[in-house]
Amino acid sequence: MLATLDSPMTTDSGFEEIYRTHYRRVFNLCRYLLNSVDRAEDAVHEVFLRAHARMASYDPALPMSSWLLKIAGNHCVDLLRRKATERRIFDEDSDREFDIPAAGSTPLGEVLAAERGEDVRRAMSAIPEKYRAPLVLAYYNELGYDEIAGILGVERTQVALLIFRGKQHLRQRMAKGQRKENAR
Amino acid sequence: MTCPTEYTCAVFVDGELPDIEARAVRLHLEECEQCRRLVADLRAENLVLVQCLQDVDLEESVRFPGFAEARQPVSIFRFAAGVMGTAVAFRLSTSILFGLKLPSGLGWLDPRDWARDPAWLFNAAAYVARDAGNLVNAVTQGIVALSVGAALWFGASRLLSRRAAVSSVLAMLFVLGLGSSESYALDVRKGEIPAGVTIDDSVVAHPDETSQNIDIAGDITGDLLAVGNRVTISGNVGGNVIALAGRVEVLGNIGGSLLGVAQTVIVSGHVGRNAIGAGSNVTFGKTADIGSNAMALAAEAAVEGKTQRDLIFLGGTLDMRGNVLRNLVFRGGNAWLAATTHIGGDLKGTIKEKEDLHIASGAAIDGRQAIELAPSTPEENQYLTASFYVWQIVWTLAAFIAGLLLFRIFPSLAPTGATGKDWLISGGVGFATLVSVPLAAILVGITVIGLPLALVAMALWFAGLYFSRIVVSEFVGRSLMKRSGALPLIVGVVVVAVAMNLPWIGGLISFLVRLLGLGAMALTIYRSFRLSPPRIAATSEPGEVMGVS
Repeated sequence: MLATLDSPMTTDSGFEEIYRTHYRRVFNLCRYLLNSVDRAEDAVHEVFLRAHARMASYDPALPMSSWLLKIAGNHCVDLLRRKATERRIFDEDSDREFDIPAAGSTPLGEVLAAERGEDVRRAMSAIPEKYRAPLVLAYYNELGYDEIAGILGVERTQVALLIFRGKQHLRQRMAKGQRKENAR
Repeated sequence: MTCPTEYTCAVFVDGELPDIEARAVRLHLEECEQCRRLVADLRAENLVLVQCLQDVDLEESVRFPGFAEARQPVSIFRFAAGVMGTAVAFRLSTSILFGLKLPSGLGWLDPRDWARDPAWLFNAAAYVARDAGNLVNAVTQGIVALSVGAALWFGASRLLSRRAAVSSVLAMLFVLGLGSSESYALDVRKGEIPAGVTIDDSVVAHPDETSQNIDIAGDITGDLLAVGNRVTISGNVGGNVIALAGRVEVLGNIGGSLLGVAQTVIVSGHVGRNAIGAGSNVTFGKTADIGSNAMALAAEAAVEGKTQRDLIFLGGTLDMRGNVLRNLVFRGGNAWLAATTHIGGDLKGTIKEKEDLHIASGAAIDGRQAIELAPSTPEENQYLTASFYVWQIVWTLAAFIAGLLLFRIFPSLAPTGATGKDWLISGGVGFATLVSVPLAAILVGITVIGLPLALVAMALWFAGLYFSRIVVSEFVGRSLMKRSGALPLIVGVVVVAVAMNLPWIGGLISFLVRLLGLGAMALTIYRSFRLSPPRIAATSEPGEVMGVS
């Protein structure tokens, strides 16, 4: 039978506060990682259930948001793995060559950012999962390579590589969008 | 030192280069303008990424479900108790409400009284539900109570947690199973009950495999539910009889009421209470004796026997030769009253033309004749009548209110399908639901425990058909207004209502709307039951856009 609720650690109202404060951030992480609003909603739900259940193991020295995002990151990566036909989606693969076509291979400029956050997010959703996940963890969650490596279950160097290549994919995507825009 | 690769610079900018290498890069940057620019660009890029990704947190567009949704699941026992408690409370409240004896002057307030003037088909339905007797009553009341209880708890559970939704369904099944086994201790029989055999119980009769027929020649003290190709009752049934078959023939005695639904229904025996026959041919034979009211819903009905109270006919042609102690009420195409006819009360009816009513000279009608001519405007343009618009407005408002409630309780029912593919899937699932639910209900309904389940499924199916329109309306409104809420909902409801009433193509639109809505709901419900997302094809296809709406 399912256990009932209120642990002395967290009253429901206390947890409600946590939920309200962090929902949006956790949701956005899940949405980036899973690339779907529906699945993100399911995932957030699960994340908060897990957090509630594991409240006892929360170390108050850490910020609550990091703790929640860590749970969320792990959960979503699990989901991605479960979904992928090959379980080792983040591992090294055959296309080792670094050079991706030069188009758009220069770093994205600042001007771009101010006006086109939407486009960047769209490009983000269009790049392969294996690159999106580390990029999101690095720049949305602002985690270090080691932490990302832990979540993805790969070596630290692999994380560096995925992030590097992910950015190249992203630039390429943005350049494509730019060309379309100009063509109009 | 030669220039580091861009890769090394990128790792350096991320602050992840080992100390020694980082120091080397820093030294190099002091003397290399080109690398300095690259590093600055990379740093700016990181900033861009962080900003763009995190900007989303400031957006208000995220649907923010109530905290309650993230609560822990409640225990299954609490759930079962809740469902049962609600069901009992509902049942009690209805029996207090409807069991009340109203003072005679206020009798018309009693909903049961509305069925006394069965001029409308609508009332006929109420009649069937009320007068088909205790079995139908008990079963439907139980089912209604349980469905209401379960629906309430399902709704509440959706607010509490998703896992609880699953447990509510389990609880409901559990309660239903309990209910069926306790209160309807039925005897399941196959084929026939031969003469001389007495069954001290209610019976559910299945046809035997070879002939598909059911013969009841023996005695049954309880109720009888018979579903088969041919159902023949020549024995005695103490309670009520419900017979669904190609041909139903009653030669023996039925203590309670009879509900016979078949292509051909023939009653030649004695029915203690009401007899309701629905089918293309309904015959109350010479020897038929109906203790209370007789009702025939048929293309052709022949009545030769005796009816102690009213005889009600709805359908095509009535051939009346028998004896009715009270009123004869009919609404249909033709009525032939032969010379042997005797009507103790009034003759009430609605026909198209006076010539459609033939009363032989010997027919005796003790009361008065109240024959109305149906308005002979079958070709009337419905778009020109005021009532059409009044009803459309009423239905639109009703749909709006129902929609508000629906999305309040199940916010996730709003379809998110944005691409054509999603709608295609919805349509396919909708079609499957449209067809499969009634089929499954029929198949399941043949078994004892399955019968209430089948009725619940059908009730949900009808509710789904109704709500399908609202779900699509909501989507239409949301797409048109680019936001969600009450205003887009009513806009969508109005747009869809207009579209569904367009001449020529309205029917097709309405069919499509139902398919899409039903499909979208079925998908949502399916999604809310799975605890982990299903394996679907990788979603990293370029075309797919993150739903930053």
